[in-house]
This record gives sequence, C-alpha cells and structure tokens, in this order.
Amino acid sequence: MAAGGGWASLPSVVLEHIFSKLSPKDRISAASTCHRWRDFMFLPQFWPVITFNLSYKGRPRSRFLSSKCAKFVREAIIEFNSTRSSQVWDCARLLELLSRNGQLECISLRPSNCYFDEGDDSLESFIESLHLVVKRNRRLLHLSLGCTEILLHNSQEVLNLLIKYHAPYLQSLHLASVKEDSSSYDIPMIGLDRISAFSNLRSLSLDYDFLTPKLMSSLASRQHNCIPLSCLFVHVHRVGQQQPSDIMWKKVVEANPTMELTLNLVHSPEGLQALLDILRPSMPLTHFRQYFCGDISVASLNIISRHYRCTLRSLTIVEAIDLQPIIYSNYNTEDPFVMLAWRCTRLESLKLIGVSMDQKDLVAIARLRASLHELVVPSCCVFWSEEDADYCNEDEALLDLQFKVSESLGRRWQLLPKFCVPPAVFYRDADADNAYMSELLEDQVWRMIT
Amino acid sequence: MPNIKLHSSDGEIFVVDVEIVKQSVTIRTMLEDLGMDEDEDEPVPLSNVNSAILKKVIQWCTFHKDDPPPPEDDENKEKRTDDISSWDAEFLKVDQGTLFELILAANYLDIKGLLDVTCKTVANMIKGKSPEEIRKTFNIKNDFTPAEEEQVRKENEWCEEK
Repeated sequence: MAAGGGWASLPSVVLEHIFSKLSPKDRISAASTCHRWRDFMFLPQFWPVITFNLSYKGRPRSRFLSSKCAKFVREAIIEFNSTRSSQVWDCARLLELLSRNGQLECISLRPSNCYFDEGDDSLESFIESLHLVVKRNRRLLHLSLGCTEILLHNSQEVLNLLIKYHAPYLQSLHLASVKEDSSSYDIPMIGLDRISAFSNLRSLSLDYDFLTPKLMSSLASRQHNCIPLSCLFVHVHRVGQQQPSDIMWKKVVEANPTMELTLNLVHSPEGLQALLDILRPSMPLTHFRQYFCGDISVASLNIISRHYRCTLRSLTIVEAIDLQPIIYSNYNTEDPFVMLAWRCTRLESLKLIGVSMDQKDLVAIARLRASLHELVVPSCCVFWSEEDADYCNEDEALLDLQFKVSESLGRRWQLLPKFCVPPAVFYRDADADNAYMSELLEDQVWRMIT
Repeated sequence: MPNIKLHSSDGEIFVVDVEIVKQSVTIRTMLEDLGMDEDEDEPVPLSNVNSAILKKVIQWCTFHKDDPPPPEDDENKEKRTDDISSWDAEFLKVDQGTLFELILAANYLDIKGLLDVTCKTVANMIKGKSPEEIRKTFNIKNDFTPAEEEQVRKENEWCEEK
C-alpha cells in the first residue's frame, strides 16, 4: 500500500474509532474532507437525541437529519405547529420513519397548541403513525403527548399498545393535557386504571379527572416487583363533587415514598374554588402552579404554607391583569406569600404575575428566604402603600426596592420588565398557551430516574 | 516460555513468546482454530502484515505484555485523547506511512490497546484543523463537486445546531 495514500480508505471499523475520539466540531471538519469520511458523522453514538423542528425554518434541517438519523436515534423530540396541517402531515411522516427505527426509546411530541387543525385527515394519519411507532419499537422508555387534548382523546389504542409491548420497560408516561375549553370538555375513557401494568413506571402525568378512587388505589398498591413512582404531575381543569381523600393520598405515598407531586391548575376557576378540598395534608406537594384561574385563594396559600412546608419547592401564579393586578384580602397579620417564604424551607422559586404585591412584602420574602433561585414579580404589579410614599419618583422607588432585594438574595435581582410578561396577561385575545406551555412541557421531558 | 513462529507477508519469520502475541485476538483465535500446540514448529501466516510493521507490533506487544486487559468499551472513555503514555508517544513518532500501516495491522491483528493508541494519535492530528488542513495532512483527495461542497456547508450548519 502506498505510504499515506490510503487514509481516505481506512477500514470502517477504524474510521469509527477515530471519529469517536473527536469532539463534535472536529467531527464535522473531518467529515467535510471527502465522501467516504462524511458517512462517519452519522453514527448512532453521535446522535443520541435529536430535536426535529418542523416549522418552515426548521424543516430543511429536520428533513436532512431524519434521512440520516431517524433509523437509529434513541430519543426524538418533535416540535411542530399543530394548527398547520402541513406540519401535522410532516410529523406523521417522521413518525412513520421512526417506526422503522426499532431502537427508539423516547418520544416527546411538542405541538405548539393543545389542539390540532382539523381541516383534513392529517390527524388520522398522525395517530396511525404514532401507533406504528409504539408497535414497532422494542423498548419504549418514555412517551409524552405534549399536553395535547386531541391526542389524549385518541390515546386508548396507544395505551393498549404500550401495555402489550412495553409494560416492563416504560418509565415515563405523560398524558396530562391542556383543554381547549376548560369549562366544558369530555373525559375520554382510555382505561387509565391499567396503569398498574407498568412495573417500571417512575414518572407519570395525567389530568385530575383521572384521579378516581380506582386509579388512586392502583397507585397505592404497586406490587413488590414494581418500581415506586418518583414524580406525579396533575393538571386540574374541571373538578367533580368528590376529591380523593387524605387516606387515599396517604396510601399512595406509603407505596411510593419518594414521590413528588406537581399540581398545575390551568384555566381552572373550579379548581381554585375547590382547592381547599383538593389539597390534602398527606399530598407530597412539591410544585404548585396556577395559570389564569381568575383569582387567588389566600386560604389555600395559607394551607399550602402549613401542610407542605417540608416539601414545597416552587409556587407559580400567572393571572390576567384586567384593569389592575389581583388585589387580595388578607385577614391574617402576615401576608400569605411572606408566610410561604418563611415556612417552606425548601422553597426555591416564587413566581407571582398578575398579583398585587406590596413592596414591603417583597423585601420580607427576600430576607426570609434568601436561598430563592427565582423570585419573579413584574414591575407593574408592585405597589407602595401610603406611608411608604417618600420617594421623589417611581423610578427611584423601583431602584431602591431592587437594591434591597438584591442585597438579601446576595445577587443582582430585578423586577420583571413588562416585555417579559406573557402577552396574555395584558390582552384577552392573546394566545394564552405561550404563558405556560413551556413550563408544562418541561414537566414532560425525559429524565433518567434511578 | 513457549514460543510461536510468526510468518510475515514478505517471508520473514519471527519467533516470539506466545504470551506476548496473545494480545492479538486474531492470533489467539488462529491458534485455537488451527488446533496448534504452543510448541508447534508450524509458523502462523500473517499475510496482511509485512516484516517492518510486524517488528514494530511485536515491540509494542512486548512492552505492554503485562498490561491489564483493556476495559469494556465505555462511552466516556472513548473521548479522551490526552492520555497517551510517553513510551507510546515515542513509539508512535514515525512517518505517516508507518502510522497508517500500524493502524491497519492493529485492526487486522485485533490488538485493542494498539488500535486505541494509534487512533488517538490520528485524532490528535485532526483536532482543531479545518477540512482543507486535514486533507493536506492525510493526503486526502477532495472528491466533492462545488455544488456538493455547498450542500456540505449547509448540512454542517444543521449539524452544529443542537
């Protein structure tokens, strides 16, 4: 062999070895030298997870990567605009490609909205392809429907297939949805009580509607060879007459002692009204979030700071500002948010948008819980009471507040500027989805839980 | 210590301690398959390795004969290229042609440690270089048409994105 003449034609095994020792950047450079070396950029080990963005801008990249990698990628995240049927079709086609993969383990659907454009058969094709993905891959660990109401309605067969083919493997299942109209919707019969079939399930999200006594009992009686649940995410929309009792929650926690509970009230005035009944002392409440529920419940906040002082890690409230932020009446001596900051020793994040906050309370919160990673309050929600009005102007007052809070937190802190507040907070007609979708979808991300 | 005879492609015969050459899975398998007794006089034919390279390989194996067996392929281990021992670094201070032949020999003879260190050396020669610099280093012909190069440029942008 001619000296140095055959580097381009090294055996594949060797080139694979060399490429695996290069950084992603160097791999790209090496793969740009000649046709033969280019093939080695597309090996499974270099592409463990791919996000396919099917928007107009992201389409060329997704097409390219799916042609090269759909056959071996282990984790696929698909982002698409569900109101555009062309993107739904594209997603269906991509799912079909992924169904031929065989080793796909994690699939996360990320539609932009909770509903699909129902102009044509794109949804049907999409669902058929989703079934194929579940049927043909050998070991699914994670499936997330991306909070899509319409997919939840069509999920009975998906569940059937998951139980049939992946019962011993599935670790993470996300069926919690956001409703198009949270005041009126059907609860699909998908047989979710069969959840006990998944012996390896660690992370589960579902709508509150499914927390029937039967399901609670299912969660409470996980067999000896079952892995206990680590995370339960519940979306509250409408609320029935009866809530799961404290005993039911106690039993669930006994069977799943490390379980963390996240409660998300999404466009749920009913949830807010029934909150005192929903919140049971034995719930391992770790994250509480309410979005556009119309009001806040001071009584519930006080219950939260009392019952969940050892578990609560974050509290988020996002409400619309009609003419002004929500002014709440407080019959106690202490502000409910100040109480939260004081009592909840594990509190890391407090996000209060659309609630009227006395600047004094903000300062107190920062002093009491200096370890907060996140304290989010818009500047337009803060007020100064009469006796504190000794500033020359508003700007000076805001700066002073920011300084005081920054001092307590030990880092540079500022109020949330108006342009960072979700538009739906100010404008009724704005798409409310973008105020909470990314947070809700973050719950549904694949995470390895040991 | 029992010896074995290795027959290079260009007709030279090397007598080596059998324990040393057992680092080569290929030779180990050949011995088992051919039912060879360790004291057999019959030399093992290595039609893909010439004498100059075989000599170097034997030198490497001799130095590394007491090495612990290499660990199973570990996802994290693969990425390191800065842990070449100084002896190996000296050993691999050879012209490119020899390095090339050594890689082929390590692959053919299936000597994991030698393949690993030679590939690391090549990876280090690639690091930080542009495609054109890499081509120059390894005398690789650019077989992309201008249109294909444009496509490659676009694809690279896509691959760089998360």
